[in-house]
Amino acid sequence: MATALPLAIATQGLTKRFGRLVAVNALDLAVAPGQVFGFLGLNGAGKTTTIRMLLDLLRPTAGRAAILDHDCQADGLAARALVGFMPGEVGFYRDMTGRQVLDFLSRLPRRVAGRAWQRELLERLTLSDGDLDRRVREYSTGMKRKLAIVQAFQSAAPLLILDEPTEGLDPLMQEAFYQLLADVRTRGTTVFLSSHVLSEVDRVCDRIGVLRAGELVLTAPVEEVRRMAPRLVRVVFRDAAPPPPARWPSTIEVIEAAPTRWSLRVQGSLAPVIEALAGLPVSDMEVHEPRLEDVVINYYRGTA
Amino acid sequence: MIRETGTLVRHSLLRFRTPLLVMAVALAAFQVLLGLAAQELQREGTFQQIVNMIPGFVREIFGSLLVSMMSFSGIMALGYYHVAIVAVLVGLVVALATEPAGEIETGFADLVLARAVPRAAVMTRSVLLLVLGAAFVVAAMAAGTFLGLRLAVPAGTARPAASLVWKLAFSLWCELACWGGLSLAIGAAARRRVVAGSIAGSAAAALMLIDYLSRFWKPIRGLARYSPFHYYNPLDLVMNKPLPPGDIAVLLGTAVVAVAVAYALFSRRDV
Repeated sequence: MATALPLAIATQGLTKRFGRLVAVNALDLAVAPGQVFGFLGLNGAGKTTTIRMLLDLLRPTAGRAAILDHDCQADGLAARALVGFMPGEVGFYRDMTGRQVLDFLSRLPRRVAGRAWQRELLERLTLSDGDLDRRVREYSTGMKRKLAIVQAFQSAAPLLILDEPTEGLDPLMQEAFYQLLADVRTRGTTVFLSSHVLSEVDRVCDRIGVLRAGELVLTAPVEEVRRMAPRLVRVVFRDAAPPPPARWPSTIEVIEAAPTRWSLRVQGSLAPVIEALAGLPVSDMEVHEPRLEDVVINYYRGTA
Repeated sequence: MIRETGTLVRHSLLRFRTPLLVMAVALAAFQVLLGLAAQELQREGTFQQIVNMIPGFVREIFGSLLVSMMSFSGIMALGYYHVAIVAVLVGLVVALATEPAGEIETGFADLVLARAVPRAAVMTRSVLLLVLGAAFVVAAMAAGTFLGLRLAVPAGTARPAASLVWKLAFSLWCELACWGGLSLAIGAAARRRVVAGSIAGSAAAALMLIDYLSRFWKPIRGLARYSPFHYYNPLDLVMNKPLPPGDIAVLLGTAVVAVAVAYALFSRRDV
């Protein structure tokens, strides 16, 4: 009989209040192991507060959180031993060298993945020996972020919690980071990633959760979220086409009906469109796949 | 927890090595110079001349303390009771004790505490740093005092006993331990190091002033009991009085209670 794997992250009624401000309200979240979970929300939505409660840096006002079956507060050490964390704002001592930072942090308890893996990370993120021997005060923002990525990934933690990891990275390093994410994912690592960059989430995440004013307003697989958005269909005719049918299904909206061109917004299946086009002189047809942000932005705005 | 604490202590000692070394060397050198100066003053009979020059009412206020100060032993012990030096040493322990607040302010604590590091390890690190740092600087002062005594031979008077130096050093260390504990408690609750340092520093300055004024202004003598400086009287030791166990108990007891409060505050706070 197969035993169900524990959830990588599970929260029940997790709440944090700062005085009158409710930063996170009754958050119920479940992140399955092996997933790349995108945690989305506007500034101040409560993403970082949630992450800090998972790491026991902040104490919840109510509710509980667990990492791989270890309660984040009552059994916090065991929970945190399973996590690699990259904070949104990295607080390295400026007078330490990059190498000193990595050595110091690698001496604090966590599963050590070995020097070869650390070396590979440094190479992939183009941090040379020369860079590591420089003091952090001489680092650019991007270099500090790369160092933060290395310290989070250098252990073999089964769960990575990354708070806006690509902020400040140039496009090449973003690409290297995405590749790194893909690699650790194939090893079964769970990634909990907060981000503002919806295109990035669309690309790397399996599932997303959207937080608005401290409340989880959406959690679903990325594919499913995409399907919530209508597709834009553009049909071009060789000759003058008839006007679109007067009675389309409610899932189809005509945006434009020019003599040789229709633009339609289609929610769900394209079958009614294809049926309507049968026998018409179609020369070309474009289907624009919906983007994650088309849906998520509505959740941000509270209009979904 | 021992391994994590060891790593944190090593890290902090490396970070503070320069101020600790500079202060230790400077104070040791100061004590050596004091020995040489005391020898010179003793040889020229200047102590009695200085005492004679002091107005009568001042002599009345300070009484036998003045005589103690104006002696070979009194000058040798200057580093242990001079306001500026005690203030600098208290400043050092405040800086050491407010490291946790600084780490929270910069975000470094996030990197440490997001790992399997118990919060108690951070506090234990700071306690060890305070104990070792203060002991190192005070030991350097004592070493400087011994070296000064070795180089300077007081003419016509006995060389102060080694036990006096140890008693002076120990009582100074107790005073610093007390301020270290109080600063740690303040730092354990603060979000910003400058705030914690300002509160601890201002409290030290105010309580030092109260203790100083209370020595010749009777109305505030009751208030002075709340000042840790009230329980630190190195000139009494110079006057061959024994180390007062009650004062030592107050200083170390305050330190222990303050450290316990610091652990409790730090374990419950939001980082």
